[in-house]
Amino acid sequence: MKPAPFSYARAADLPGALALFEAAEGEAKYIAGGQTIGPMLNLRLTQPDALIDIARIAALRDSRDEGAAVVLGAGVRHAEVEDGRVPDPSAGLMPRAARTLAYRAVRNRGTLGGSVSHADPAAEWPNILTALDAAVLVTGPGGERAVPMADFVQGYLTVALDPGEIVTGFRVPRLPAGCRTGYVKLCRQAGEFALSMAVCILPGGGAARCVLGAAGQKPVILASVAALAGRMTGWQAGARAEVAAALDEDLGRAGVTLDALDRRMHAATVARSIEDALT
Amino acid sequence: MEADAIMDGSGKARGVGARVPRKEDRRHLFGKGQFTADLRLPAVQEVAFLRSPVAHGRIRRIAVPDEIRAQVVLAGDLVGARPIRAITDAPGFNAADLPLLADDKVLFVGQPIALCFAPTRAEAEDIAQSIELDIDELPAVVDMLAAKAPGATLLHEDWGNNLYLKREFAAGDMDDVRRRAGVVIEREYRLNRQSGVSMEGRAILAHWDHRLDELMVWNSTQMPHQARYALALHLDLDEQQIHVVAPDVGGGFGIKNIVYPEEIAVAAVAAHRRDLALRWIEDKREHLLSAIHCRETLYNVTAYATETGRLLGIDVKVHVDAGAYATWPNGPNMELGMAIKNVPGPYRLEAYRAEGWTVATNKAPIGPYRGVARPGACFCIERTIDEIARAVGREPHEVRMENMIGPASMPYRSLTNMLYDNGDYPESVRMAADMVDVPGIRARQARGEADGRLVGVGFASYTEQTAHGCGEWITRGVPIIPGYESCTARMMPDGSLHLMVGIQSHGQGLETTLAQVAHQELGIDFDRIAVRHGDTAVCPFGMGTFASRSMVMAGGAVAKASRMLAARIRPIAAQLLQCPPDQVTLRDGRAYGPSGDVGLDEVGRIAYVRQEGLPRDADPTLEVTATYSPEIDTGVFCYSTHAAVVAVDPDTGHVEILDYAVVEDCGTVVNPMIVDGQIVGGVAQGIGNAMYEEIPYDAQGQPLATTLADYLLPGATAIPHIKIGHMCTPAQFTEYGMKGMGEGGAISPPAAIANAVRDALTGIGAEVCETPITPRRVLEAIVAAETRGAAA
Repeated sequence: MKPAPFSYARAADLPGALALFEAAEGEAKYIAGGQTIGPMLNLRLTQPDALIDIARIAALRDSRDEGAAVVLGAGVRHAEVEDGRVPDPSAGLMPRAARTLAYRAVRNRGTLGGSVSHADPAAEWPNILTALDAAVLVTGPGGERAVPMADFVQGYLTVALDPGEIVTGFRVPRLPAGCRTGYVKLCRQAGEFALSMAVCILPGGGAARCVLGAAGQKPVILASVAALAGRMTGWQAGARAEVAAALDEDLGRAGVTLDALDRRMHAATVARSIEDALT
Repeated sequence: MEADAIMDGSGKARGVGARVPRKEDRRHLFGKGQFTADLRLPAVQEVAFLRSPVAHGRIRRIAVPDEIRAQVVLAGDLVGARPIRAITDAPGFNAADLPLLADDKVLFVGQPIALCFAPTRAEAEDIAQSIELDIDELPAVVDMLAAKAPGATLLHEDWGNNLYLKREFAAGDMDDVRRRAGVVIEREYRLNRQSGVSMEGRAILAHWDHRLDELMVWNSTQMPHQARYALALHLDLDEQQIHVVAPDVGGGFGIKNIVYPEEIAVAAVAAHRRDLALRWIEDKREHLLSAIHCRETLYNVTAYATETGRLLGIDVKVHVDAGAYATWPNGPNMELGMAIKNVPGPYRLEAYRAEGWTVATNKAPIGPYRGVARPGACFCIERTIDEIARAVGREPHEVRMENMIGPASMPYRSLTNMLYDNGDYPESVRMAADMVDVPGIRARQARGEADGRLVGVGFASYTEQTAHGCGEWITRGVPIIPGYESCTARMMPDGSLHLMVGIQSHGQGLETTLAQVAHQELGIDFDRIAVRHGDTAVCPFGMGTFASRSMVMAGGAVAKASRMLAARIRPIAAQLLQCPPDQVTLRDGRAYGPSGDVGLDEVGRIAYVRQEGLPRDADPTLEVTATYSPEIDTGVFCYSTHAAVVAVDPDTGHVEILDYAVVEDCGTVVNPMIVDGQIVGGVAQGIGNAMYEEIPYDAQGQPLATTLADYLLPGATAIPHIKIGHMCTPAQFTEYGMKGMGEGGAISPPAAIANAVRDALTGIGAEVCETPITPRRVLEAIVAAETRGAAA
């Protein structure tokens, strides 16, 4: 489990990274925290000709509170979210999710941008940031752009990045005061990828946003479930059947087919995420 | 009773029975252990293997680019090396050569084809990647029942079938039992295939030592002397030209009780080339692909019992999926025999019938892993006992106790001809039930859980043959028959002591416990006793460490050697003390006579360098070799009951272990801390077997768990606090009354946890009869039971 040969260069800043990408011969890949690409290189599942290290680019580590939103640099590490070392727009949801992400050694190095660029549907950030309706900030040879999370993640391990583009950060709308959140991650044991991951955000006033991870090829936005959850004032165990029915509608709309066992498991986590938000 | 722990000069107990911190810990805690990968030798070439990407096929061509040809060894390049042939004495055993490197057929994904070497492992992998393979794929035989069916594709054509072995056993009158049975339980149990994962993988470094004119081999093995024997068997070398050292070894569990084709290939190249130092350090992917797998067994059982839950008879069919080849030395044939022998467990039976098949499939070979066959046998009988209890409406632990062989019946010869030596099996169940508070759990179940989860309690007992000698091994039909272990004890001129032993310690703490034994016998300061093992040039011949035998076997040899050494020390001391030798006693590093004492350093000085002070007729050599085997060769039986309390989430199938208790009796305990550590480690591996570890294969014979991302090992959060209760029935036939216990912890967890899940799901009517007990399997069982319930 050793990587195939590749060239390595460290970029000092974003223009430098783009220039290195442009100049690279053959396939080039960016590396930041290395927690996903590292094992893939070692298993030779990916064999790029050039690795461009963007971990030391200061601009990627910039986070700022803009009031209505918080901008988090793509180079922010999971542990910094977990520890509250960056502003939190999510009423505690993001730090809470960070604590369930792999284990501390991975969280010390892995980055928000890396996780979202990889877009594993069973990973924390693609689902949490989709639920938070974040925008992905992208820089590339063609300039800068912002893409809503829902459009950015296109499929299994597939994102809307053109060659050479780098995720520089996320603009995350600040949840209103009094907003309640629910989060349930089901996995084989602590630190594993999710078998099911449900997020429920109840900003109040009948609005709600619910997302299911690890069910489809990408985070599934659950509109019917959210409509139902938004109407709830408290959790009743009897609501589980309604939630399951609403989930079926949402999965049908998203084109996700599940067998009876997976449906039961995901229905349970979705219901529990609402219960978690309401209680 | 336990042997009295004697005190040393510091006032601390350091002898047999004392909680002595391990001598090994210091180097490991300071990162100073020396494993094969840590060795620094000049110009070592690192090895990577090109392995078969297909499960079954015929190699048409191996295309090696010219520029790397010198760094690639193919089968045809090997000189003076023979394929592995594990020949057993088991009647009807089908044997097949296991090539060191495949050049004709490949029979499993991961089978080595080419040995590639380079200054670094990464470069060696580059070389392996640049070789092109052209393989004609053949249909893969993946399922053991399909492999057995007529017309199945054959792995080894000359066999005419895919069967390594078939065995049958019958005792008692099954027809009579069937007539009298008020309760009949029929079940199918499946233990799926897993790996035995040691922290350190396989490892070997080999080079020719021109000064000594010998092949120097550093090998991560449990059995350095057997490795030397195997290398001589497979290479054109005298055994005197082979020196094997097992340096620090990071876990074995049976996985390293095998000499693998990769290891012999590395040794063969080093022996032939004589200018190359070659090292192969296995990575985890290679381990999961190609080190032996284990456990894959199918049990179909019919049990007969009375209407009050008295077990009458068991009729069982056992299939073992043994993979593609037999490895050296024992191949796959211990699994089936031990499964058949151990299904009756600690219970009284009137009739027992077993029929079994060891089947070849296009998967990695299977072999012994901690517990060998007994986790499956235990699962089979213990799940069945629970079903009998449910059928008659009684508490499973009570039915268990009632059916067990009681202390008054000991020694007891089982229907499968095992001699259970002593112990109180039912008492272990009673204690375990107390420790998890069964009435408390029943009350909690009646109340229900606020979160909707379902709580259950389950038990599993076993009796485990340990430290068995020739008589037992011969019945297994294996080619290597272990009987004894040896120790050379050498007192130095200054009164310090070396113990050289043929076993190998790789986590068992034998550097500590064997020193405790010598301290007990000779009174030499524990800190001045060093244990040397794992080196064929230093240590007397020994079989190595496996089968829960080393403490009893090597401990016995150390005790015997120590007493022989004392007999050499006494006359020299007696001369100094002016008394008869039989009046000399040894303690605190000194020899005491009726009217004075003398230090062992003085005895040593005279024996070695002031020889004029020696008695005339005494043998002055303070070095003895003793060989030991227990007084019986049928083994001494440790036994244990595990109790698990779980909470099952009926919506997701998730199982959480809330409580876990172990009650065990391994006779006299040499070091209670080490025994407890072995139990906890064994239970952790058993929980892995029960809930996490599995290597599924797809229909093409591709393994689906080849990294630790897909192959789940139980992490720290998966292991609950484990309560341990001790009983102590000293063995009659061993030194101090010791029994082996290393494997035991891993035997019961799958059955105990499955029974607990069964108990939790009683209301739903679901049960889990397969390991690992994954959330999906639990959910599947629940949905199936609900569907049955709705249909009824």
